[in-house]
Amino acid sequence: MCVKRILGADKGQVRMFEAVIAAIIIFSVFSASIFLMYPSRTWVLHEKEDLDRLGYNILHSLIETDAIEYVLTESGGNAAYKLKMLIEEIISPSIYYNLTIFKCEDNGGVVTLRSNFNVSNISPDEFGRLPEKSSTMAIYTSRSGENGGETYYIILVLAKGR
Amino acid sequence: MGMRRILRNNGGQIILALAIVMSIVILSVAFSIYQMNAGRQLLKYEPVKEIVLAATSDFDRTLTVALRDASLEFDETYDENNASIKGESVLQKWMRSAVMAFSHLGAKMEIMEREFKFNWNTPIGFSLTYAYFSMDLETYGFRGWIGRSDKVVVLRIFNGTVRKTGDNSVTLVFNIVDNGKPVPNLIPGLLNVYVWNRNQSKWDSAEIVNMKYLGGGNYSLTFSSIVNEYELGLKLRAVTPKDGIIVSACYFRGINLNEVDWGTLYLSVGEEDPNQEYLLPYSLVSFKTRQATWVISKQKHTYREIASPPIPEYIYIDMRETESVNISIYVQPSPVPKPGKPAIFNVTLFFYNPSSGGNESIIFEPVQFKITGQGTYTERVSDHYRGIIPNGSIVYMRVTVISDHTLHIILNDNERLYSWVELGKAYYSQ
Repeated sequence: MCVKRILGADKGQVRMFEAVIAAIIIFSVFSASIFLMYPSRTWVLHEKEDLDRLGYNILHSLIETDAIEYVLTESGGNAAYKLKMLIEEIISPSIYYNLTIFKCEDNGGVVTLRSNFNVSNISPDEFGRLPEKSSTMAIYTSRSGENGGETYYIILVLAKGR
Repeated sequence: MGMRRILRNNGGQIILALAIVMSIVILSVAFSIYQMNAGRQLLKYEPVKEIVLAATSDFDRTLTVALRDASLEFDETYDENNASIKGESVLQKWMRSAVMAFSHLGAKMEIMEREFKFNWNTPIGFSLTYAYFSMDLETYGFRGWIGRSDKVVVLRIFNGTVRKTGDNSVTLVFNIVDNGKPVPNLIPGLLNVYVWNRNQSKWDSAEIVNMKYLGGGNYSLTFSSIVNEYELGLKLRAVTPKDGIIVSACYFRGINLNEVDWGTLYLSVGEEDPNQEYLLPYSLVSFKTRQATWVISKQKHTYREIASPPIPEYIYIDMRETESVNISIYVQPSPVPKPGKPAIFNVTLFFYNPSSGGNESIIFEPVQFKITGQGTYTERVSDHYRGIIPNGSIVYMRVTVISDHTLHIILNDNERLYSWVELGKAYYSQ
């Protein structure tokens, strides 16, 4: 019935009808293209990657600026506090971290890890509940002081606040 | 019937057809981009570069600690082997720690080559180490990384700057660099100065009076010590402020220690008097003067002689321990000898001991050299003087031309020595 009406219509109406269909096709194609070009979960992938990069950057900064060396050779109880301050100067307040330094103890060829100290800006329970975490690690050999020659294993876990 | 009407309306159909073609093109492009994006997401970020570079950087620090411990051991024992063992143990401990730390990444690491080297007996002293290590991270499929780390600390005493500035003081300029970078924060507490006590054959500590940083790792140093103007042996021992690596350098002028080998004497120009030619041990030769050449011919200067300074009283040369005496002479004959008619000259070696007041003692009968062109000629003499050249003796060498050629005998230039005599082994006569 409808087709008959269209077929029976004059040329102008047919042209209008064809133009509308062409517009719909073009619009649909553009919508599909945009959907294909911007996958919806990209931000999730990028977030973990960004946290990894940030983690390695923080470790690199702490090591190469001798901040870790200073903290490890610091006598008294201020070492953890100073390390906390240093990290919080680098990262944004919306990022939570947990940094643990282990001392590598060589017992006749077998190396064991002993936790030296730990700093964080969130309680362990709350940190555990955060969904997306990134874990980065590095080793550090101390050069000076009574710890000179000791090797440390540093783990930095980062998470983005919800 | 209806179709025909549609076909007749071909203007609108073209719009539709174009829309469809455009759709196909746009969808193809979009799908390609989608596929590229999906592919990129499959290439998950893997922090291989960060881990490997962080391990390499830490290996640099470990090598520093290893050199520190090795230099400490060498400072105590003067045994390079012991020092290497000490340094090696630091590297091995690090290796075990690193493998354990990265075990979850399937890390395989190995120290492939390493060396610890110390040269503390010359004006340019150094403590050096280098090592290669390989690293694989199986989890990331990363294999074959080979890193090299070096650590070298160099302490240099500038020979020309050592001056006696008063009755009891000496000044000099020295330079200290750590991996090529100047060390700007050396303080007197990290530097020891020792002066050789000839009478007791030991190093005496000297007091630092003044030390000033001149920039570029250069320091001017004044220390107090009663020293002879012509005989000075001094040793600097520095500990780098940041890493605690020990390095040492020695300077000798006019005195002779174990390190000065009087068994081989070079025809050369001396440091004390650049216009005078001497038979000198290598460590007393000056390379910054001039080329020394003798011209001998039958017309002028049939022979030339060269003498050593008095051999120090506590050193003697025992040729019985050697199988031969070797004489090496660099000669340029003129004109170039014709085939079958070599240029000929003789070398005679003898010594004279002023304290005994005796005659000259011939070490061996004249040795004849037959040369056919320019170059270094070496003659071995087995039937030589079997005895001792007593301490205090002066060793002479005489070169006499026999043929009608003019001979240019080159002693040294400012880079190398060309002519020498290997007498044997020199010992202390304690």
